[in-house]
Amino acid sequence: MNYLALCFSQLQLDSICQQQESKRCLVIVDAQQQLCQLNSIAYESGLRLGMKLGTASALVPEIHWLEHDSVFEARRLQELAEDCYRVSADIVIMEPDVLLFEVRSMLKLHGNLENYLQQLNAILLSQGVHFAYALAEFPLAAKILACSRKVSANLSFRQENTQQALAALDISALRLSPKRDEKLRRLGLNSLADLNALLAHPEAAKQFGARLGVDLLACLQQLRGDFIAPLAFFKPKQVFRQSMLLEHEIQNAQSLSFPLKNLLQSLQAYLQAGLCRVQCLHFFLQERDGQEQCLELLSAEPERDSQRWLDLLRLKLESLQLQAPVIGLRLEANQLLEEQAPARDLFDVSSAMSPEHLLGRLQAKLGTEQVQALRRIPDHRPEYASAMQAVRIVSQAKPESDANGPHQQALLRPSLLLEQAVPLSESIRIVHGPERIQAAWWTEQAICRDYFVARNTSQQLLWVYRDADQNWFVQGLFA
Amino acid sequence: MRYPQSNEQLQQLQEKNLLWRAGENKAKSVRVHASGYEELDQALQGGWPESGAVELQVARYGLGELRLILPVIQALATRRAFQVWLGVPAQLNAQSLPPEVVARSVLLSPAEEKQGYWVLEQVLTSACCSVVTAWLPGLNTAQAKRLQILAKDSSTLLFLIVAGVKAEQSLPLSLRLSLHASSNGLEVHVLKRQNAWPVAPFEVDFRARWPQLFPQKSVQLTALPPDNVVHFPTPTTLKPAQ
Repeated sequence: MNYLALCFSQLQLDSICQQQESKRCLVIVDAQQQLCQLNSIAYESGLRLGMKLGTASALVPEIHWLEHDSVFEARRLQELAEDCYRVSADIVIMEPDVLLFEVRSMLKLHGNLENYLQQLNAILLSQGVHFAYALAEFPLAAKILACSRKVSANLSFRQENTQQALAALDISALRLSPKRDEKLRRLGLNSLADLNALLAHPEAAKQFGARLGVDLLACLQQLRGDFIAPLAFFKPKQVFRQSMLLEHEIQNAQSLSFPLKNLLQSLQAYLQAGLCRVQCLHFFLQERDGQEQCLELLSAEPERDSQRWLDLLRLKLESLQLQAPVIGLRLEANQLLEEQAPARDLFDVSSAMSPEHLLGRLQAKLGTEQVQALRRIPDHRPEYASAMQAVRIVSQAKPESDANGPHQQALLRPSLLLEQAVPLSESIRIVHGPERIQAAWWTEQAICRDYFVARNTSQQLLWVYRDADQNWFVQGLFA
Repeated sequence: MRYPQSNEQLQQLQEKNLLWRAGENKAKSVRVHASGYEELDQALQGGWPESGAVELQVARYGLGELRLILPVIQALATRRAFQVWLGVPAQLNAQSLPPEVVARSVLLSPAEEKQGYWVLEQVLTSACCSVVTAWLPGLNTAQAKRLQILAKDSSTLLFLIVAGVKAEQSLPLSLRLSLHASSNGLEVHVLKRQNAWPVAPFEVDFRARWPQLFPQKSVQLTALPPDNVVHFPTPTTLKPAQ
């Protein structure tokens, strides 16, 4: 028995009852308005799977129904897999409702099969889910058997002959379309035993794939173990979450760095074990009044070292005001990045800090808005042609690419632009001009200006313009 | 000033690096970056110092202080990861800068003056910036000394642009210049130059690099020649179409 399959046929229903303890007649309805999941009350009231919702509400007027939510079920299945991962290493998620476990490799850890099933059962019990299960030699056999069985709430080991059990199954267990089921039935093929008998016949086996579908043939071969399709094993999402309660309430933001240091150290240990780094941390400060304050810490470079994080954190805490005393802390790192060796200049050994490290420090101290890069934008309007953006590190070897072309270089433009043009209030001498800029007339921010370079009495070179109404403004300085 | 009384005192001064001998200049050549202006290169024996702090004093911003240092900023642009601009008094215009400078520019705008020095120290310590240009309200001796040492150690060229401050005290910087606008460019007074003889004031000619800003004749706007030729509409005759 190599594989165990669990079929969660009423996952959505189980998750609801877990939340509200009520004794109502509750059903889940699929897209065809047929009942697909029923709770025990509904079953006792005479409702059955596959009934139309109209029939059901006629039978039980006080019926409570919900639409089937496949996205929720998929997420729930993922959660169950994460939970079971503690006991079993190789798990396959088979949408929509099956989890497949590879058993044999786990027996070394758990001793024997009974132990293993017991451990798994405890987890499933705590989740409060109903399931059908089957053990088989081959993955698909386990899946099909599990789906054909009735739900139970207990895992136990039974010795059985898989091929016999499979042979007794009706062809609908293969989950083909109803149309194909009907086609097979008309050929007199009602159970898997009939199909197998056909395959055993050498003449019929040759024609089997062409007449009844290659997928059906492949399915039967997998059930018999002639070949095994590769399995995509579940990998748990990598997140780090750790919380701690404080012995004393902390009112001073700076003193938070001492308990947070412990969290960062355990983060470092976790990251070291997984050979990964992290770029963004979230600290949640639980306040006495039940509120939670979130502190985001970004590093320009993926980082693991707790000391580096602590440096950044101290800078951040300097500017933090606590609204209320803090009683608990939580650290979350959601995006773990794989370790990558950073690109370094082989010959420039003078660098004490990497550029990413410097950016990280500056951003932590000043805030991300105060650390910015320049960018040219192809626009004729001077105030839109130069913009600020987040800093990006240019590699040394990369050749310069200027999308705007060399013609921008030839323009006479001031090096400093005022935030907003101010009316001209002094006497000036024109040095150069005019240069007319008439642009963006198709928008609200249309401009029509004649630009001049002018020298004022204190010898500054100003960039002035005259608008369509003959008003003069200063917009920049040739510094 | 009191002169040292004995050889012992001279020795002490020399150990503290407070003494400069005129003969030293020939012995070790000071490494420099060409400034891009012939007059400046000539007066300062090659150009800007390779590293260290250079103070540029101006009465007001906008006399040509950035144009004076732009060639060296462009030349050093690709040496390291960043070029830092700290506390720019207005918006730095990307259109006026060469693309390689734009690509590496980092603008820092600290909210407080105190943060400015902290940031400057971090930037210099990191040694990943080729040129740092900072607009600062003024420096005291201790701060100047620290910045100078950090800039030297990390071989970073630091330009400090200071406006409207009268230089009274002497600061331990590599070079201190006072800039004044002139008809053809910029008049430069060298206030202090480390390890070198004093230099007489000289003029840097901007006409070759920026001919449009220093035209031979200033543009006449109002006095148009009275004739009957139909001229291309000049700005004075332009009226918005009603």
